[in-house]
Amino acid sequence: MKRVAAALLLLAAAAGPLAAQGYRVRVESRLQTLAFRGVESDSVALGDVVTDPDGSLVSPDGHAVRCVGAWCYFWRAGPEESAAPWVTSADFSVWGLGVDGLSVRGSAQAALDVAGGASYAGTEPPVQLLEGYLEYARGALTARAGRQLVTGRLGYLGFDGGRATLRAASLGLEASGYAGWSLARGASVPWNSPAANPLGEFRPDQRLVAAGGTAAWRSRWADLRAEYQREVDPEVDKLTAERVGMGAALRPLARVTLSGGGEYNLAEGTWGSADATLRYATRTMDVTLGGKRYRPFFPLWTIWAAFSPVAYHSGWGSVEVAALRRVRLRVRGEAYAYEDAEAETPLASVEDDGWRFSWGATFLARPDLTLDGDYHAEKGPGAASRGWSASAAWRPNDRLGLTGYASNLLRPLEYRADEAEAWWFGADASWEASAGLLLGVGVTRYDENRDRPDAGAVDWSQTRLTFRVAWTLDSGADRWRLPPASAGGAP
Amino acid sequence: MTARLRPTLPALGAALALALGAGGVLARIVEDRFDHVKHAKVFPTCEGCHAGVAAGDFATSFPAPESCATCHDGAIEDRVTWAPPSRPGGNNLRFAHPEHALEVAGASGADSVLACASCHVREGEAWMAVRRASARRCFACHEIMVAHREAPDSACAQCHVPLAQATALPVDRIREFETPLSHEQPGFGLDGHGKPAQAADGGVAASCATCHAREFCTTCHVNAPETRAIQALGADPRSLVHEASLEAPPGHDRADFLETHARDLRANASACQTCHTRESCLACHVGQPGVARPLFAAGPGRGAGAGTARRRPPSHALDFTRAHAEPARSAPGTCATCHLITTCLDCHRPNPADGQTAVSGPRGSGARGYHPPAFLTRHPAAAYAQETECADCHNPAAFCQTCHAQAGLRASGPLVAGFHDSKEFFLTGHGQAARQSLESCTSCHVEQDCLTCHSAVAGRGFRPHGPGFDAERLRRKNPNMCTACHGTTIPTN
Repeated sequence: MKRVAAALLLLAAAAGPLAAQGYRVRVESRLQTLAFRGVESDSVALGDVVTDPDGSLVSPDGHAVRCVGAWCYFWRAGPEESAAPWVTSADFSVWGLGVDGLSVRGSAQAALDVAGGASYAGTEPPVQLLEGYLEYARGALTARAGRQLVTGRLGYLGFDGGRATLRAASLGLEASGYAGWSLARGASVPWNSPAANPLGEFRPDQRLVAAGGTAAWRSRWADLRAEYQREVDPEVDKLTAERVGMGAALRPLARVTLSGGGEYNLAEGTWGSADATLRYATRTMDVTLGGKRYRPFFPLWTIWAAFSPVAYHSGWGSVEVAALRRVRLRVRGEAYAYEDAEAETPLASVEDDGWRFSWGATFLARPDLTLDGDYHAEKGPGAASRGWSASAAWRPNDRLGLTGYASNLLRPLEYRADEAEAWWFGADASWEASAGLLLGVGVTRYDENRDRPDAGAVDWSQTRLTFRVAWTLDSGADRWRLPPASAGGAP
Repeated sequence: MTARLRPTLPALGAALALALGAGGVLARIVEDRFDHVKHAKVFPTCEGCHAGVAAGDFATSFPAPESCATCHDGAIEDRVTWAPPSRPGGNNLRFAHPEHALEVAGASGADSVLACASCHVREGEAWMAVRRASARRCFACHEIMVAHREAPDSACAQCHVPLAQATALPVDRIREFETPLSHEQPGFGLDGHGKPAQAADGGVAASCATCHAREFCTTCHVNAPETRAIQALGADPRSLVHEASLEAPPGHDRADFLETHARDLRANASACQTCHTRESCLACHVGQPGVARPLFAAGPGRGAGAGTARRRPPSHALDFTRAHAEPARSAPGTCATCHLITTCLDCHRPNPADGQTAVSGPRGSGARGYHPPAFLTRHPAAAYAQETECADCHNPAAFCQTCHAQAGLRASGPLVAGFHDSKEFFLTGHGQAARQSLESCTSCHVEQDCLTCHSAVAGRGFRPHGPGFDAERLRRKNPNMCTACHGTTIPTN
C-alpha cells in the first residue's frame, strides 16, 4: 500500500509539468495547542479514611471515597498533559493524463504532536492515506483501483482494492461491485493495526477482506438503492460481517422529499438501524419529521454481538423558518426509548428513554454581520446537559472574516457528584492573503467549575490556540469553494 | 448620355475616393492637409495630379512635392511641406480603379472631372469640394437600395473582401465597422447566428468573413475546431477588436436546471459543447471527471468557455446541514455528483488539530464544525444514545479508547467501585445499560473485563445473551466468536 501511496503522491507532484491536464491540489495545515487532564484510580485502606464534618468519608488528602470491604476507592486528578497536534493534509485530483477518462484522486494527512508529550488522539499513525485511487471512466464504465471509501446505508467502508461501476445513464441505472482489504471503521488503518487497538482488544491477525456491491436507480422523482457488504477473516475463512441495506429518496412534489431505509444483519439475523424522514423545504421554510431505529453493529471478530445489544426508537422533528428577511428561527426536538433489554437489574435502575431539544436563531444584522444563538437541553440514560451558545461573524470584506463566540454548559459531573459548569469563549480570524491562500488563527478560553466540595474539584481551565494555513492551486476548475456547511450560509 | 453615365461615373468616383481614402491615411492627408476648394481654379482636372489612379499606378497617383513648389516657392506663395503617401492605404474593398476606369471610359467617355466628382463631390457643391466617397454611392450603382448597415448580409461580399485578406486595413477602421441590423435581432448572439453563418458548401458565409475572423468566433466557441464554418474563416487577431461575450441561454434559468442539465447533455451534447469546456463540469463534479467527457477539454484554438460557479441546489436550503444525513445515506450517488467523499470527511473525520469546531464562520473561512460548542464536555449523553452514528466518523478504538485511556477512563484490574458510583450496585445491575449502549461500554472496557464474569469456561458463567440472540446462526457464521467464552465446546442454543 505504501508503494501505491508513493506512486500517487509522485503523480500529484508531477501534475504541474504534464501537459494539457487539469488538477486541483489543496494543502492545509492546522495546529492546535491545548491541555488535558485525566484521572487516576486510587484506593486507601478503610482505616485511613477520615470523616468530614458533614459525615462524608474522604481520603487523607480530601478525596471523597467509596468503601467496599476493607478498601475505599476514589479518583484523583492525573497529571496535566499538554498537546499540540499539528496536522497537514493534502487533497488532490488530477485528470487529463493523456488517456481519456483517466484521473487520480488522493487525500492524505500527516499528524504530529509537536508538544512531544502523550500522543494526542488521532495522531497515530503519523501518516495516513484517507483516499488514493486511480480512476478510469469510459462510457458506461468507471473503474477505480487503490484506497477508497464507499458510503451509504451501511456507513463508511474504507478498503484497498478495486471497484467497478456500470451505468446506464439514460435509464438511471447503476450497479457497482468492489473488493479489497478493508480498513477499520472511521479510520484509515486496518483493524489489526496497533493504532486501532490501544486497549488490547481481540483483533483479527490479518487484514479482513471486504467485498460488496450496490445497485441504484435514479430518476427525477426517486432514488432507490440496494447495498450488500461482507467481510471475511482470511485467516479462519469465516465471515465477520454480512449486511444488506436498502435506501430510497422520493420526491413526489417539488419541495417535498421522503427518504429512508434500513439494514439487515445477515450474519446475526437481526434488523439493524433504519430511518425515515419527510422534509418540506422552501426558500423560507424547512420542516422535517423523522423516525429512527438505531441498533449498533459489531463485527463477529468481537464478542459484542453475543451480548445482544438492543435498539432504540426515536421520533424527531425540526422547523427552520426565515421569519423575517434577516431572521431565521429554528427548533428541533427528539424523544427516544429503548427496546426491552430483557435484563434483570433488581438492584440498579437504569433509564430507558430520553429526549433532546434545541432552538436557535440567526440574525443577519448587516450584510457583513451575522449573529447566531442556540440553546439546547438533553436528558438520557447516560447523562444530561443544558446550555447555550452564541456567535457573531463579521466579514468586512471578501478576504477577512472575524468570528467571536461564547457558550455555556451545565451538566452533571463525571462522577455524578454535582453539576459542573463550563464556559467557552474565543475568537477566530481568517484572512485570504491571496487567491487560494487562506490563513487563520483562533484563541479559545475554556473555564470549568467542577463544583465539588472535595479535592476532586481540580481545575481544568485553559487557553487553546489554533493556527491554520490552507493553500489551493488548480488548473481553473473548482476554484469556487463550496458554500459553508452552516445553517446561516446564503445559498 | 448623361443618363447613361450616371451609373458609371459615381462608381468611378467612389472608386477613386475609396482607393485614395478608404484606408484612412491618404484620405486624411487629402482632406486635412490639401485644400482642394482653395485650389479649384488652379487645377482644371483631377488627372492632372492623380494621373495614376485610373491606371492603377500608385507611383503617379499623387503629384510630386516639387510640383507644389512651383507656386509655393516662398516668393509667389509660402513654402509648404507635403509628401505623398509611401504606400497605398489599406481597405477591405473588392474594388480596383483600373477596371472601373476602363468601364467608365469605355461606356461613357466621360472625363475625369465628371467621373471623380460623381462620387467625391456632393450634389450642389463645388467640383473641387472633394470628400471620401460614401457607401451610398456604391449602393446606388449596384442597386442596393438601403443604408449600409441595413444591407442584407448577402450583399457584404459584393463589395468587401474577407477581413483576413484585408491585411492593410488598420485596426481603427475595423473597430469602426458598423454593426449590421441582423445582429440586433433577439437571440442573434445565441442560436441566431449559427445557421446564417453556414455557407451552402459547408464553409462560412461571406458576410461573416467580411468583418470577422476565426479568433473572434473562438472568443466564445469552445467547439471552434469542430465547427466547419469557423474553420473556414481566415485567422486574423485584428478581429478581436470586436468584443463578444457569452450569455446564458434561457433554459439555464429554469428552476430545475441543476437537476436536469445532465439529461440535456445526453440529449444534445453539441449544444453544451458550444460554450462549455470540461472545466465547466468539473467546477462542480470534482469527483466525477468522467461526466465531462462529452465536452471538449480546454486547449489552444478553443474558447475559454463559460465559467460556472457552484451554487446550492434548492434542496440545500436552510436547514440542510442538519437534514442531509438521511438523504445522503439513502442516495449517496446524488451527493457524489458534486461532492467528494473527502469533502464529507472535512466534518465527518476528526482532525486532532481542529480547534473550536462549532462556529462555522464566514463563507470561505474554512472553519468547519460538526458538533456544537463544548460538545466534548457533554458528549456522554449523545454517545450513549447514539445521537448520530459516532463510529462512522470516530473509530471506537483509535479515537474513543485512546482518549479515554489518556484521561484515565480505562478499566484495569478488578472491577470495583469507581466511575459508575452514582448508581448504587451498578455492577450487579449493569445489564440493561450495557445492552442499551454497548458501544459506550466498549469505549472504556475490553472483552477481558466482561469475560471476567461472562466467560463460560474462565469466568463466572453469567450468560450475556439476550433478545434476538441466534446461537446456531452465529456459530455457523463464525464460531471463533463463540470460542472466546465457550472454548471448543460451543453450545447450540
